[in-house]
Amino acid sequence: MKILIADDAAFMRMRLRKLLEAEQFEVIEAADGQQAVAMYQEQHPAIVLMDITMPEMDGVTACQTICQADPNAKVVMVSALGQQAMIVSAMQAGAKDFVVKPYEPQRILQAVGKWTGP
Amino acid sequence: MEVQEILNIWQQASVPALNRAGFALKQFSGLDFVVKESFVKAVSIEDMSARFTHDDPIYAVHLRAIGLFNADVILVFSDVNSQQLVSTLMGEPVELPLDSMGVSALGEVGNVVGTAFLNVFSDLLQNAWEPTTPRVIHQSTQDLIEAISPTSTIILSEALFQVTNEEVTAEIMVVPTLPS
Repeated sequence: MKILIADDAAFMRMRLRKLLEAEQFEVIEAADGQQAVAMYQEQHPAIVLMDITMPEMDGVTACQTICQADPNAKVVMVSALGQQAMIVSAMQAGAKDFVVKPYEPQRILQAVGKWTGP
Repeated sequence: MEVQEILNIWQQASVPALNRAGFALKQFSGLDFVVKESFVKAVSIEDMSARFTHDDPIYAVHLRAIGLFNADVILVFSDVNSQQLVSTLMGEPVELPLDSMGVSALGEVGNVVGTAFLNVFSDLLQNAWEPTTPRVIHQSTQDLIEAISPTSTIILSEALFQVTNEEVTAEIMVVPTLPS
């Protein structure tokens, strides 16, 4: 199953990739919101793990663009911006869940498992 | 937002926000950081600049916060502490100067810690307060201070984080931009 990681920080992409590949997921990466939208349209990943603060296009706008084009898209926000106002914005944009950095690896696997489980 | 309003909020929320930032640093790094000291005070541009005239090389991570009002968040580490922190995050020893992955890791430390500070204010005032993407600076922080501190007096919130029983420290400084 394919998962798209969208984060401008190479270190965070590497960390998430290691975690998800150890669980047998196939991982693709985007370094900003615009790339994430393009990759989603090309490759239709099962889940998107989306940062918010990114260059070119922020994660909430990217989430909204993806979810408007595909109402079945599963976007999970993964961001340090755990502000109530931001969580509400992300959910209104179509996000299914919101994981606040710093996170325990188990919290990511739980969020992914919720949308990939049987 | 008026100057007095900003100062009142700043006084009220800075120390809890610095504590939250320290906790985020501990969670993200896996190192047992504690807040050694935290305070809010007015300093002159000369004093602020002097703090950045280090003899030893340093790494600094800078975020600009935009929303409620503008502010600059700066996280400062010595070269050696940056190396130790990034080695812990990478799970293997890293060399100095940090390579691009090391710089990315340090930038993310700044993002997580600085944003944890902003989140406290945002939730208190029920309004988003967003940072820019982090900028990692090596050895040239004087330019940064001059760029963010055009006025003669600066309101500064500052904390020193230290790993228990070790010589690993980090320093966070947050400077709000007051309307003229």
